[in-house]
Amino acid sequence: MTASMRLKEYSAQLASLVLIILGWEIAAQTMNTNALPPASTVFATLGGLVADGDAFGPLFSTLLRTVLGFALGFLLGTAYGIFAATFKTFDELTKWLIQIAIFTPTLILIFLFLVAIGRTNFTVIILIALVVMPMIGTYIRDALKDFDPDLEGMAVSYKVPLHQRVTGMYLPFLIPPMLAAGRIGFTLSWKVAFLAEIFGFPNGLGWQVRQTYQIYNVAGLLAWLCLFIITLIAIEQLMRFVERRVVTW
Amino acid sequence: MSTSAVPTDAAAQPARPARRALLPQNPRARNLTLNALPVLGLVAVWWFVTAFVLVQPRLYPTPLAVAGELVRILSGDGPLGSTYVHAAATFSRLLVAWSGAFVIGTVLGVIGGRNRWFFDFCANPVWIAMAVPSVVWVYIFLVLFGIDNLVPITALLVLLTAPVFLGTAEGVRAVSPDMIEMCDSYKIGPIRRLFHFYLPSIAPYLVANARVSFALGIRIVIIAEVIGLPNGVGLLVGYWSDSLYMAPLVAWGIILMLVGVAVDHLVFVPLQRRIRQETVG
Repeated sequence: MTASMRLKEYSAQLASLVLIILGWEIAAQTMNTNALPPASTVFATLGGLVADGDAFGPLFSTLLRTVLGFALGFLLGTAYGIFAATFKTFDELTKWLIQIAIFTPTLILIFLFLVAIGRTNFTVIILIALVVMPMIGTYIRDALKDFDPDLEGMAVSYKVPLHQRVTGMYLPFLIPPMLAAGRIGFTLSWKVAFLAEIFGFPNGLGWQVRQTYQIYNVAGLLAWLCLFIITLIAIEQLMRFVERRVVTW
Repeated sequence: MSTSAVPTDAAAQPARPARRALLPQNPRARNLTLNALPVLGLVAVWWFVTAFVLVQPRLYPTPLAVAGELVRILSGDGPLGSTYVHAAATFSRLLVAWSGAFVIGTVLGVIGGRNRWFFDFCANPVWIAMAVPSVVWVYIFLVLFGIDNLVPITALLVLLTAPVFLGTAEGVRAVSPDMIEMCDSYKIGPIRRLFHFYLPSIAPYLVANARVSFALGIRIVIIAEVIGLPNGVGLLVGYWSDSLYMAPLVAWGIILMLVGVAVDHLVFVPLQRRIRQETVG
Protein backbone atom coordinates (compact mmCIF):
# COMPACT_ATOMS: atom_id res chain seq x y z
CA MET A 1 0.00 0.00 0.00
CA THR A 2 1.34 3.40 -0.91
CA ALA A 3 1.52 6.29 1.52
CA SER A 4 -1.21 8.31 -0.19
CA MET A 5 -3.59 5.34 -0.14
CA ARG A 6 -2.98 4.82 3.52
CA LEU A 7 -3.52 8.52 4.16
CA LYS A 8 -6.84 8.30 2.33
CA GLU A 9 -7.84 5.28 4.37
CA TYR A 10 -7.02 6.93 7.67
CA SER A 11 -8.74 10.18 6.75
CA ALA A 12 -11.92 8.31 5.84
CA GLN A 13 -11.77 6.39 9.09
CA LEU A 14 -11.23 9.56 11.07
CA ALA A 15 -13.93 11.47 9.21
CA SER A 16 -16.67 9.16 10.44
CA LEU A 17 -15.56 9.49 14.06
CA VAL A 18 -15.41 13.27 13.82
CA LEU A 19 -18.86 13.27 12.21
CA ILE A 20 -20.33 11.14 15.00
CA ILE A 21 -18.92 13.35 17.74
CA LEU A 22 -19.99 16.53 15.94
CA GLY A 23 -23.51 15.17 15.39
CA TRP A 24 -23.70 14.18 19.03
CA GLU A 25 -22.54 17.62 20.21
CA ILE A 26 -25.01 19.47 17.96
CA ALA A 27 -27.92 17.19 18.86
CA ALA A 28 -27.20 17.61 22.57
CA GLN A 29 -26.89 21.37 22.32
CA THR A 30 -30.16 21.73 20.41
CA MET A 31 -32.16 19.23 22.48
CA ASN A 32 -30.68 20.51 25.71
CA THR A 33 -32.00 17.74 27.99
CA ASN A 34 -30.55 15.79 30.85
CA ALA A 35 -30.91 12.65 28.81
CA LEU A 36 -28.19 13.56 26.36
CA PRO A 37 -25.27 15.55 27.71
CA PRO A 38 -23.05 17.13 25.04
CA ALA A 39 -19.89 15.35 23.95
CA SER A 40 -17.72 18.04 25.49
CA THR A 41 -19.20 17.43 28.97
CA VAL A 42 -18.76 13.70 28.63
CA PHE A 43 -15.16 14.01 27.55
CA ALA A 44 -14.52 16.47 30.36
CA THR A 45 -15.91 13.90 32.81
CA LEU A 46 -13.74 11.25 31.22
CA GLY A 47 -10.72 13.56 31.48
CA GLY A 48 -11.53 14.07 35.14
CA LEU A 49 -11.71 10.33 35.74
CA VAL A 50 -8.36 9.78 34.08
CA ALA A 51 -6.70 12.78 35.79
CA ASP A 52 -7.90 11.72 39.25
CA GLY A 53 -6.75 8.20 38.59
CA ASP A 54 -10.24 6.86 39.37
CA ALA A 55 -10.44 5.32 35.93
CA PHE A 56 -7.51 2.97 36.29
CA GLY A 57 -8.68 0.70 39.10
CA PRO A 58 -11.86 -0.55 37.36
CA LEU A 59 -10.14 -0.51 33.96
CA PHE A 60 -7.30 -2.75 35.06
CA SER A 61 -9.43 -5.16 37.03
CA THR A 62 -11.65 -5.66 33.96
CA LEU A 63 -8.66 -5.88 31.68
CA LEU A 64 -6.93 -8.46 33.87
CA ARG A 65 -9.95 -10.75 33.92
CA THR A 66 -10.40 -10.33 30.19
CA VAL A 67 -6.80 -11.15 29.37
CA LEU A 68 -6.70 -14.21 31.63
CA GLY A 69 -10.02 -15.55 30.39
CA PHE A 70 -9.10 -14.89 26.79
CA ALA A 71 -5.71 -16.58 27.17
CA LEU A 72 -7.35 -19.67 28.62
CA GLY A 73 -10.06 -19.75 25.95
CA PHE A 74 -7.56 -19.15 23.18
CA LEU A 75 -5.28 -21.98 24.30
CA LEU A 76 -8.13 -24.44 24.70
CA GLY A 77 -9.74 -23.30 21.45
CA THR A 78 -6.55 -23.65 19.40
CA ALA A 79 -5.85 -27.05 20.89
CA TYR A 80 -9.40 -28.11 20.14
CA GLY A 81 -9.19 -26.83 16.55
CA ILE A 82 -5.98 -28.75 15.87
CA PHE A 83 -7.32 -31.95 17.43
CA ALA A 84 -10.66 -31.72 15.65
CA ALA A 85 -8.99 -31.14 12.30
CA THR A 86 -6.58 -34.06 12.82
CA PHE A 87 -8.86 -36.69 14.36
CA LYS A 88 -12.19 -37.20 12.66
CA THR A 89 -13.58 -39.18 15.60
CA PHE A 90 -12.74 -36.41 18.05
CA ASP A 91 -14.50 -33.94 15.78
CA GLU A 92 -17.63 -36.10 15.73
CA LEU A 93 -17.48 -36.67 19.48
CA THR A 94 -17.40 -32.97 20.27
CA LYS A 95 -19.71 -31.76 17.50
CA TRP A 96 -22.87 -31.49 19.57
CA LEU A 97 -21.06 -30.21 22.63
CA ILE A 98 -19.61 -27.38 20.59
CA GLN A 99 -22.99 -26.64 19.03
CA ILE A 100 -24.50 -26.45 22.50
CA ALA A 101 -21.72 -24.18 23.71
CA ILE A 102 -22.13 -21.88 20.69
CA PHE A 103 -25.89 -21.53 20.93
CA THR A 104 -26.30 -21.24 24.69
CA PRO A 105 -27.21 -17.63 25.49
CA THR A 106 -24.29 -15.90 27.18
CA LEU A 107 -26.55 -14.11 29.64
CA ILE A 108 -27.94 -17.34 31.04
CA LEU A 109 -24.43 -18.70 31.47
CA ILE A 110 -23.48 -15.51 33.32
CA PHE A 111 -26.46 -15.65 35.66
CA LEU A 112 -25.94 -19.33 36.30
CA PHE A 113 -22.22 -19.12 36.94
CA LEU A 114 -22.35 -16.04 39.15
CA VAL A 115 -24.90 -17.72 41.37
CA ALA A 116 -23.68 -21.31 41.26
CA ILE A 117 -19.90 -20.77 41.45
CA GLY A 118 -19.88 -17.46 43.27
CA ARG A 119 -18.82 -13.94 42.42
CA THR A 120 -15.08 -14.43 42.14
CA ASN A 121 -12.50 -13.50 39.53
CA PHE A 122 -12.17 -17.17 38.80
CA THR A 123 -15.84 -17.42 37.76
CA VAL A 124 -15.51 -14.61 35.25
CA ILE A 125 -12.32 -16.09 33.81
CA ILE A 126 -13.96 -19.49 33.36
CA LEU A 127 -17.00 -17.83 31.81
CA ILE A 128 -14.92 -15.93 29.26
CA ALA A 129 -12.93 -19.02 28.38
CA LEU A 130 -16.10 -21.02 27.92
CA VAL A 131 -17.64 -18.48 25.57
CA VAL A 132 -14.48 -17.81 23.53
CA MET A 133 -13.20 -21.36 23.25
CA PRO A 134 -15.81 -22.81 20.83
CA MET A 135 -15.61 -19.75 18.60
CA ILE A 136 -11.83 -19.96 18.27
CA GLY A 137 -11.93 -23.74 18.10
CA THR A 138 -14.31 -23.88 15.15
CA TYR A 139 -12.44 -21.08 13.39
CA ILE A 140 -9.10 -22.87 13.63
CA ARG A 141 -10.65 -26.21 12.72
CA ASP A 142 -12.23 -24.79 9.56
CA ALA A 143 -9.05 -22.95 8.63
CA LEU A 144 -7.08 -26.19 8.95
CA LYS A 145 -9.46 -27.92 6.55
CA ASP A 146 -7.92 -25.81 3.79
CA PHE A 147 -4.50 -27.18 4.60
CA ASP A 148 -2.97 -28.70 1.51
CA PRO A 149 -2.62 -32.47 2.06
CA ASP A 150 -0.12 -32.69 -0.83
CA LEU A 151 2.26 -30.54 1.16
CA GLU A 152 2.00 -32.94 4.05
CA GLY A 153 2.54 -35.91 1.72
CA MET A 154 5.59 -34.27 0.25
CA ALA A 155 7.04 -33.57 3.68
CA VAL A 156 6.49 -37.19 4.67
CA SER A 157 8.07 -38.60 1.54
CA TYR A 158 11.08 -36.33 1.91
CA LYS A 159 11.34 -37.33 5.58
CA VAL A 160 11.36 -33.79 6.87
CA PRO A 161 11.92 -33.90 10.66
CA LEU A 162 8.97 -33.00 12.85
CA HIS A 163 10.27 -29.77 14.37
CA GLN A 164 11.13 -28.47 10.92
CA ARG A 165 7.68 -29.43 9.68
CA VAL A 166 6.12 -27.53 12.56
CA THR A 167 8.14 -24.35 12.11
CA GLY A 168 8.24 -24.40 8.33
CA MET A 169 4.79 -25.71 7.47
CA TYR A 170 2.20 -25.81 10.22
CA LEU A 171 3.04 -22.59 12.02
CA PRO A 172 3.14 -20.32 8.96
CA PHE A 173 -0.19 -21.80 7.92
CA LEU A 174 -1.74 -21.47 11.38
CA ILE A 175 -0.58 -18.03 12.40
CA PRO A 176 -2.87 -15.88 10.20
CA PRO A 177 -6.09 -17.68 11.25
CA MET A 178 -4.88 -17.69 14.86
CA LEU A 179 -4.37 -13.94 14.78
CA ALA A 180 -7.73 -13.32 13.12
CA ALA A 181 -9.52 -15.59 15.58
CA GLY A 182 -7.62 -13.97 18.42
CA ARG A 183 -8.78 -10.53 17.41
CA ILE A 184 -12.45 -11.54 17.28
CA GLY A 185 -12.04 -13.59 20.43
CA PHE A 186 -10.55 -10.75 22.39
CA THR A 187 -13.43 -8.43 21.53
CA LEU A 188 -15.80 -11.16 22.64
CA SER A 189 -13.91 -11.66 25.93
CA TRP A 190 -13.98 -7.97 26.64
CA LYS A 191 -17.74 -7.97 26.15
CA VAL A 192 -18.35 -11.02 28.32
CA ALA A 193 -16.27 -9.57 31.15
CA PHE A 194 -18.21 -6.34 30.91
CA LEU A 195 -21.57 -8.12 30.85
CA ALA A 196 -20.69 -10.21 33.87
CA GLU A 197 -19.82 -7.03 35.74
CA ILE A 198 -23.05 -5.31 34.76
CA PHE A 199 -25.07 -8.27 35.94
CA GLY A 200 -23.62 -8.58 39.35
CA PHE A 201 -19.86 -8.58 39.65
CA PRO A 202 -19.02 -5.95 42.24
CA ASN A 203 -16.14 -4.11 40.54
CA GLY A 204 -14.69 -3.16 37.16
CA LEU A 205 -15.96 -1.04 34.29
CA GLY A 206 -19.34 -2.74 33.97
CA TRP A 207 -20.06 -2.16 37.63
CA GLN A 208 -19.25 1.54 37.23
CA VAL A 209 -21.62 1.81 34.27
CA ARG A 210 -24.40 0.16 36.24
CA GLN A 211 -23.79 2.42 39.23
CA THR A 212 -23.89 5.60 37.18
CA TYR A 213 -27.04 4.40 35.42
CA GLN A 214 -28.79 3.73 38.70
CA ILE A 215 -28.24 7.26 39.97
CA TYR A 216 -29.06 8.55 36.46
CA ASN A 217 -25.69 10.19 35.98
CA VAL A 218 -25.75 10.11 32.18
CA ALA A 219 -22.52 12.03 31.66
CA GLY A 220 -20.74 9.60 33.96
CA LEU A 221 -22.31 6.64 32.19
CA LEU A 222 -21.22 7.84 28.78
CA ALA A 223 -17.75 8.70 30.08
CA TRP A 224 -17.25 5.14 31.36
CA LEU A 225 -18.56 3.79 28.07
CA CYS A 226 -16.13 5.96 26.15
CA LEU A 227 -13.32 4.60 28.27
CA PHE A 228 -14.51 1.09 27.44
CA ILE A 229 -14.62 1.81 23.70
CA ILE A 230 -11.33 3.71 23.58
CA THR A 231 -9.50 0.88 25.36
CA LEU A 232 -10.96 -1.57 22.89
CA ILE A 233 -9.92 0.54 19.90
CA ALA A 234 -6.41 0.90 21.28
CA ILE A 235 -6.04 -2.86 21.78
CA GLU A 236 -7.54 -3.57 18.37
CA GLN A 237 -5.09 -1.24 16.65
CA LEU A 238 -2.23 -2.84 18.53
CA MET A 239 -3.33 -6.30 17.42
CA ARG A 240 -3.74 -5.16 13.82
CA PHE A 241 -0.26 -3.72 13.88
CA VAL A 242 1.14 -7.00 15.20
CA GLU A 243 -0.87 -8.93 12.62
CA ARG A 244 0.46 -6.85 9.74
CA ARG A 245 4.02 -7.25 10.98
CA VAL A 246 3.80 -10.98 11.47
CA VAL A 247 1.89 -11.74 8.29
CA THR A 248 4.23 -9.84 5.99
CA TRP A 249 7.11 -11.66 7.58
CA MET B 1 -17.02 -19.66 12.61
CA SER B 2 -17.87 -22.52 10.35
CA THR B 3 -19.85 -20.27 8.05
CA SER B 4 -16.92 -18.16 7.00
CA ALA B 5 -15.58 -20.85 4.68
CA VAL B 6 -18.66 -20.79 2.51
CA PRO B 7 -17.92 -22.18 -0.90
CA THR B 8 -14.80 -24.25 -0.29
CA ASP B 9 -16.19 -27.44 1.23
CA ALA B 10 -16.48 -29.31 -2.05
CA ALA B 11 -12.80 -30.21 -2.03
CA ALA B 12 -13.03 -31.83 1.40
CA GLN B 13 -15.83 -34.20 0.47
CA PRO B 14 -14.21 -37.01 -1.56
CA ALA B 15 -11.83 -38.09 1.21
CA ARG B 16 -14.61 -39.29 3.49
CA PRO B 17 -16.09 -42.50 2.06
CA ALA B 18 -12.79 -44.39 2.09
CA ARG B 19 -12.47 -43.89 5.83
CA ARG B 20 -16.03 -44.75 6.57
CA ALA B 21 -15.78 -48.01 4.63
CA LEU B 22 -13.32 -49.30 7.23
CA LEU B 23 -16.06 -49.32 9.83
CA PRO B 24 -18.52 -52.18 9.96
CA GLN B 25 -21.43 -50.11 11.27
CA ASN B 26 -23.78 -47.90 9.35
CA PRO B 27 -21.70 -44.68 9.22
CA ARG B 28 -24.62 -42.40 9.86
CA ALA B 29 -25.69 -44.25 12.98
CA ARG B 30 -22.09 -44.36 14.11
CA ASN B 31 -21.68 -40.62 13.76
CA LEU B 32 -24.91 -39.96 15.59
CA THR B 33 -23.78 -42.15 18.48
CA LEU B 34 -20.46 -40.35 18.53
CA ASN B 35 -22.26 -36.99 18.57
CA ALA B 36 -24.71 -37.93 21.28
CA LEU B 37 -22.52 -39.91 23.67
CA PRO B 38 -20.59 -37.00 25.22
CA VAL B 39 -23.82 -35.04 25.66
CA LEU B 40 -25.42 -37.96 27.46
CA GLY B 41 -22.27 -38.35 29.51
CA LEU B 42 -22.46 -34.71 30.47
CA VAL B 43 -26.05 -35.06 31.60
CA ALA B 44 -25.07 -38.11 33.64
CA VAL B 45 -22.27 -36.17 35.34
CA TRP B 46 -24.64 -33.29 35.97
CA TRP B 47 -27.17 -35.65 37.52
CA PHE B 48 -24.53 -37.32 39.67
CA VAL B 49 -23.07 -34.04 40.92
CA THR B 50 -26.40 -32.42 41.74
CA ALA B 51 -27.81 -35.56 43.32
CA PHE B 52 -24.86 -36.56 45.50
CA VAL B 53 -22.20 -33.84 45.76
CA LEU B 54 -23.86 -30.43 45.66
CA VAL B 55 -27.26 -31.17 47.08
CA GLN B 56 -28.95 -27.79 46.97
CA PRO B 57 -31.75 -28.01 44.42
CA ARG B 58 -32.42 -24.27 44.29
CA LEU B 59 -28.89 -23.31 43.24
CA TYR B 60 -27.80 -26.57 41.62
CA PRO B 61 -30.89 -27.97 39.92
CA THR B 62 -31.00 -31.64 38.98
CA PRO B 63 -31.72 -32.64 35.37
CA LEU B 64 -35.13 -33.86 36.51
CA ALA B 65 -36.02 -30.50 38.05
CA VAL B 66 -34.99 -28.76 34.85
CA ALA B 67 -37.06 -31.20 32.79
CA GLY B 68 -40.02 -30.42 35.04
CA GLU B 69 -39.51 -26.70 34.46
CA LEU B 70 -39.26 -27.32 30.71
CA VAL B 71 -42.66 -29.00 30.79
CA ARG B 72 -44.07 -26.12 32.83
CA ILE B 73 -42.71 -23.54 30.40
CA LEU B 74 -44.01 -25.45 27.41
CA SER B 75 -47.45 -25.70 28.99
CA GLY B 76 -47.46 -21.90 29.17
CA ASP B 77 -47.32 -21.64 32.95
CA GLY B 78 -45.12 -18.83 34.24
CA PRO B 79 -44.91 -16.43 37.17
CA LEU B 80 -45.62 -13.32 35.11
CA GLY B 81 -48.34 -14.53 32.77
CA SER B 82 -48.25 -16.99 29.91
CA THR B 83 -44.76 -17.93 28.79
CA TYR B 84 -45.93 -17.95 25.19
CA VAL B 85 -46.76 -14.25 25.35
CA HIS B 86 -43.24 -13.51 26.53
CA ALA B 87 -41.68 -15.79 23.96
CA ALA B 88 -43.76 -14.21 21.19
CA ALA B 89 -42.66 -10.73 22.29
CA THR B 90 -39.03 -11.78 22.25
CA PHE B 91 -39.18 -13.48 18.87
CA SER B 92 -41.10 -10.69 17.20
CA ARG B 93 -38.42 -8.25 18.38
CA LEU B 94 -35.73 -10.56 17.15
CA LEU B 95 -37.37 -11.00 13.75
CA VAL B 96 -37.99 -7.30 13.20
CA ALA B 97 -34.46 -6.34 14.18
CA TRP B 98 -32.86 -9.18 12.28
CA SER B 99 -34.69 -8.58 9.02
CA GLY B 100 -34.11 -4.83 9.28
CA ALA B 101 -30.43 -5.37 9.95
CA PHE B 102 -30.19 -7.77 7.03
CA VAL B 103 -31.68 -5.29 4.55
CA ILE B 104 -29.73 -2.26 5.77
CA GLY B 105 -26.50 -4.18 6.16
CA THR B 106 -26.77 -5.67 2.68
CA VAL B 107 -27.47 -2.36 0.96
CA LEU B 108 -24.65 -0.58 2.78
CA GLY B 109 -22.40 -3.57 2.24
CA VAL B 110 -22.90 -3.49 -1.54
CA ILE B 111 -21.93 0.18 -1.58
CA GLY B 112 -19.00 -0.49 0.73
CA GLY B 113 -17.79 -3.33 -1.45
CA ARG B 114 -17.76 -1.13 -4.53
CA ASN B 115 -16.48 2.06 -2.98
CA ARG B 116 -13.32 1.83 -0.94
CA TRP B 117 -13.75 5.27 0.59
CA PHE B 118 -17.23 4.48 1.87
CA PHE B 119 -15.95 1.25 3.36
CA ASP B 120 -13.15 3.04 5.21
CA PHE B 121 -15.62 5.66 6.33
CA CYS B 122 -17.86 2.98 7.83
CA ALA B 123 -15.03 0.94 9.29
CA ASN B 124 -14.90 2.62 12.69
CA PRO B 125 -18.65 3.00 13.30
CA VAL B 126 -19.24 -0.61 12.23
CA TRP B 127 -16.51 -1.74 14.47
CA ILE B 128 -17.80 0.26 17.43
CA ALA B 129 -21.30 -1.09 16.80
CA MET B 130 -19.99 -4.63 17.04
CA ALA B 131 -17.58 -4.13 19.91
CA VAL B 132 -19.99 -2.41 22.28
CA PRO B 133 -22.05 -5.02 24.12
CA SER B 134 -25.79 -5.07 23.52
CA VAL B 135 -26.57 -4.11 27.08
CA VAL B 136 -24.64 -0.89 26.63
CA TRP B 137 -26.63 -0.01 23.52
CA VAL B 138 -29.72 -0.67 25.60
CA TYR B 139 -28.50 1.75 28.27
CA ILE B 140 -27.77 4.40 25.66
CA PHE B 141 -31.13 4.03 23.90
CA LEU B 142 -32.99 3.85 27.19
CA VAL B 143 -31.54 7.20 28.07
CA LEU B 144 -32.44 8.58 24.64
CA PHE B 145 -35.90 7.08 24.04
CA GLY B 146 -37.14 6.23 27.52
CA ILE B 147 -38.62 2.81 28.23
CA ASP B 148 -40.00 1.65 24.93
CA ASN B 149 -40.20 -1.34 22.67
CA LEU B 150 -37.95 0.58 20.32
CA VAL B 151 -35.00 0.25 22.70
CA PRO B 152 -34.14 -3.44 22.36
CA ILE B 153 -35.03 -3.42 18.66
CA THR B 154 -32.71 -0.51 17.89
CA ALA B 155 -29.97 -2.05 20.00
CA LEU B 156 -30.23 -5.33 18.14
CA LEU B 157 -30.46 -3.54 14.81
CA VAL B 158 -27.20 -1.71 15.46
CA LEU B 159 -25.42 -4.87 16.56
CA LEU B 160 -26.67 -7.10 13.75
CA THR B 161 -26.24 -4.66 10.88
CA ALA B 162 -22.49 -4.48 11.40
CA PRO B 163 -21.56 -8.12 10.62
CA VAL B 164 -23.98 -8.18 7.66
CA PHE B 165 -22.29 -5.08 6.27
CA LEU B 166 -18.82 -6.61 6.59
CA GLY B 167 -19.87 -9.94 5.07
CA THR B 168 -21.63 -8.34 2.11
CA ALA B 169 -18.75 -5.98 1.40
CA GLU B 170 -16.40 -8.94 1.37
CA GLY B 171 -18.71 -10.79 -1.02
CA VAL B 172 -19.04 -7.85 -3.39
CA ARG B 173 -15.30 -7.40 -3.46
CA ALA B 174 -14.90 -11.04 -4.44
CA VAL B 175 -17.04 -10.51 -7.58
CA SER B 176 -14.61 -10.88 -10.43
CA PRO B 177 -13.62 -7.62 -12.13
CA ASP B 178 -13.99 -9.32 -15.52
CA MET B 179 -17.70 -9.62 -15.00
CA ILE B 180 -18.03 -5.96 -14.09
CA GLU B 181 -16.06 -5.05 -17.16
CA MET B 182 -18.36 -7.22 -19.24
CA CYS B 183 -21.38 -5.45 -17.76
CA ASP B 184 -19.79 -2.13 -18.59
CA SER B 185 -19.06 -3.05 -22.18
CA TYR B 186 -22.58 -4.44 -22.76
CA LYS B 187 -24.03 -1.33 -21.09
CA ILE B 188 -26.15 -3.24 -18.59
CA GLY B 189 -28.26 -1.00 -16.36
CA PRO B 190 -27.80 -0.85 -12.58
CA ILE B 191 -31.00 -2.73 -11.72
CA ARG B 192 -30.41 -5.66 -14.06
CA ARG B 193 -26.84 -5.67 -12.93
CA LEU B 194 -27.90 -5.96 -9.30
CA PHE B 195 -30.36 -8.81 -9.85
CA HIS B 196 -28.54 -10.77 -12.53
CA PHE B 197 -24.93 -10.36 -11.53
CA TYR B 198 -24.33 -9.11 -8.03
CA LEU B 199 -27.04 -10.93 -6.13
CA PRO B 200 -26.34 -14.39 -7.59
CA SER B 201 -22.64 -14.08 -7.05
CA ILE B 202 -22.91 -12.83 -3.48
CA ALA B 203 -25.79 -15.16 -2.54
CA PRO B 204 -23.56 -17.53 -0.53
CA TYR B 205 -22.31 -14.56 1.47
CA LEU B 206 -25.85 -13.34 2.05
CA VAL B 207 -26.96 -16.68 3.45
CA ALA B 208 -23.86 -16.86 5.62
CA ASN B 209 -24.62 -13.35 6.91
CA ALA B 210 -28.21 -14.21 7.66
CA ARG B 211 -27.06 -17.30 9.49
CA VAL B 212 -24.36 -15.63 11.56
CA SER B 213 -26.50 -12.65 12.48
CA PHE B 214 -29.44 -14.83 13.47
CA ALA B 215 -27.24 -16.95 15.72
CA LEU B 216 -25.86 -13.78 17.28
CA GLY B 217 -29.31 -12.22 17.57
CA ILE B 218 -30.92 -15.10 19.41
CA ARG B 219 -28.14 -14.99 21.95
CA ILE B 220 -28.24 -11.28 22.61
CA VAL B 221 -31.94 -10.50 22.32
CA ILE B 222 -32.57 -11.52 25.93
CA ILE B 223 -29.67 -9.40 27.16
CA ALA B 224 -31.38 -6.41 25.62
CA GLU B 225 -34.60 -7.33 27.41
CA VAL B 226 -33.36 -7.78 30.94
CA ILE B 227 -33.23 -4.06 31.59
CA GLY B 228 -36.37 -2.01 31.77
CA LEU B 229 -38.90 -3.86 29.65
CA PRO B 230 -42.35 -5.06 30.67
CA ASN B 231 -42.20 -8.40 28.84
CA GLY B 232 -40.04 -10.91 27.00
CA VAL B 233 -37.96 -13.93 27.87
CA GLY B 234 -35.25 -11.62 29.20
CA LEU B 235 -37.62 -10.36 31.89
CA LEU B 236 -38.40 -13.92 33.02
CA VAL B 237 -34.73 -14.86 33.07
CA GLY B 238 -33.91 -11.79 35.15
CA TYR B 239 -36.79 -12.61 37.49
CA TRP B 240 -35.57 -16.15 38.16
CA SER B 241 -31.99 -15.01 38.58
CA ASP B 242 -33.04 -12.38 41.12
CA SER B 243 -35.02 -14.93 43.10
CA LEU B 244 -31.98 -17.27 43.03
CA TYR B 245 -33.93 -20.10 41.46
CA MET B 246 -31.81 -21.73 38.81
CA ALA B 247 -33.96 -24.54 37.38
CA PRO B 248 -36.19 -22.34 35.16
CA LEU B 249 -33.14 -20.35 34.14
CA VAL B 250 -31.43 -23.47 32.83
CA ALA B 251 -34.68 -24.54 31.20
CA TRP B 252 -34.92 -21.27 29.28
CA GLY B 253 -31.29 -21.59 28.30
CA ILE B 254 -31.99 -25.03 26.87
CA ILE B 255 -35.05 -23.80 24.99
CA LEU B 256 -33.23 -20.86 23.41
CA MET B 257 -30.28 -23.07 22.56
CA LEU B 258 -32.53 -25.65 20.91
CA VAL B 259 -34.41 -23.00 18.92
CA GLY B 260 -31.09 -21.58 17.73
CA VAL B 261 -29.76 -24.98 16.69
CA ALA B 262 -33.06 -25.93 15.06
CA VAL B 263 -33.28 -22.77 12.97
CA ASP B 264 -29.66 -23.18 11.98
CA HIS B 265 -30.05 -26.78 10.87
CA LEU B 266 -33.53 -26.66 9.42
CA VAL B 267 -33.35 -23.32 7.63
CA PHE B 268 -29.82 -22.09 7.04
CA VAL B 269 -27.86 -25.29 6.47
CA PRO B 270 -30.23 -26.57 3.72
CA LEU B 271 -30.35 -23.11 2.20
CA GLN B 272 -26.59 -22.89 2.14
CA ARG B 273 -26.34 -26.34 0.60
CA ARG B 274 -28.81 -25.47 -2.14
CA ILE B 275 -27.09 -22.23 -3.03
CA ARG B 276 -23.75 -23.97 -3.11
CA GLN B 277 -25.12 -26.58 -5.51
CA GLU B 278 -26.62 -23.93 -7.73
CA THR B 279 -23.44 -21.92 -7.94
CA VAL B 280 -21.37 -25.01 -8.63
CA GLY B 281 -23.72 -26.65 -11.10
